[in-house]
Amino acid sequence: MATTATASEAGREADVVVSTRSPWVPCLLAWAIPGAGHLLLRRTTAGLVFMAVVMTTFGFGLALNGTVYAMDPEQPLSYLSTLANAGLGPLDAWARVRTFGDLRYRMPDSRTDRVAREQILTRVRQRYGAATHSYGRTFLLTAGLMNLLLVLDVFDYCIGRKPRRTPQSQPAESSS
Amino acid sequence: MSHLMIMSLHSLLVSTFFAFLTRDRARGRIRVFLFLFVGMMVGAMALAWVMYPYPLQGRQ
Repeated sequence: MATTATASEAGREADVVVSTRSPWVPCLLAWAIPGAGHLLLRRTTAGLVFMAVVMTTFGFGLALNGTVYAMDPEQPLSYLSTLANAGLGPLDAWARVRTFGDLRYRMPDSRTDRVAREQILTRVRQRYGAATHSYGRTFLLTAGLMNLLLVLDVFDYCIGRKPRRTPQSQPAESSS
Repeated sequence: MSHLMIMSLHSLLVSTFFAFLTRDRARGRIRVFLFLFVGMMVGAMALAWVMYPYPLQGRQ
């Protein structure tokens, strides 16, 4: 159940609407569909722009022959990269199937499953030939990180940490 | 697509994203957008200029 409180402060501070609600559904929606969390919270313009920007970034990532990362114990930083990619939700699953041929988040161990590992690496290396491969990877990582930030932003709105200013008020510019 | 075009596109997308994420009003968004976009483009150019004397490995 959403609760809303309006706080009017003296001076240059404007009317601030602090809305609190359960963050689970908006955050899950924001993760699954970029920008949808903001749309649910009625931040329509921002939501549509976020959706367009993240989708465009993701689209260019694929178009530039980008590949996603899978967790590899031999490369510890791949865990962070995989987390960044996974920030895109279902879109990441699609990119993962496109990269590895299946929904894979972890690379096979080279000691126990060497053949499967080589097959996957061969498939991924086919994209390395494209001059834009590194750019594509960067675009995919950027899209995932953007969406993670959107989820956190929606969370902040839901718990009231990031208040919304009323349209009537025109205070001095501030980061909200 | 050229490298410069890809870099410009990336800067454009990231700048737009952060402009809308950090500001609520049009004027503030435009200011943040310009700051980030120009900063990234000029910064990348400056870095490229600094690295120019250093040859790529194996091209010597």
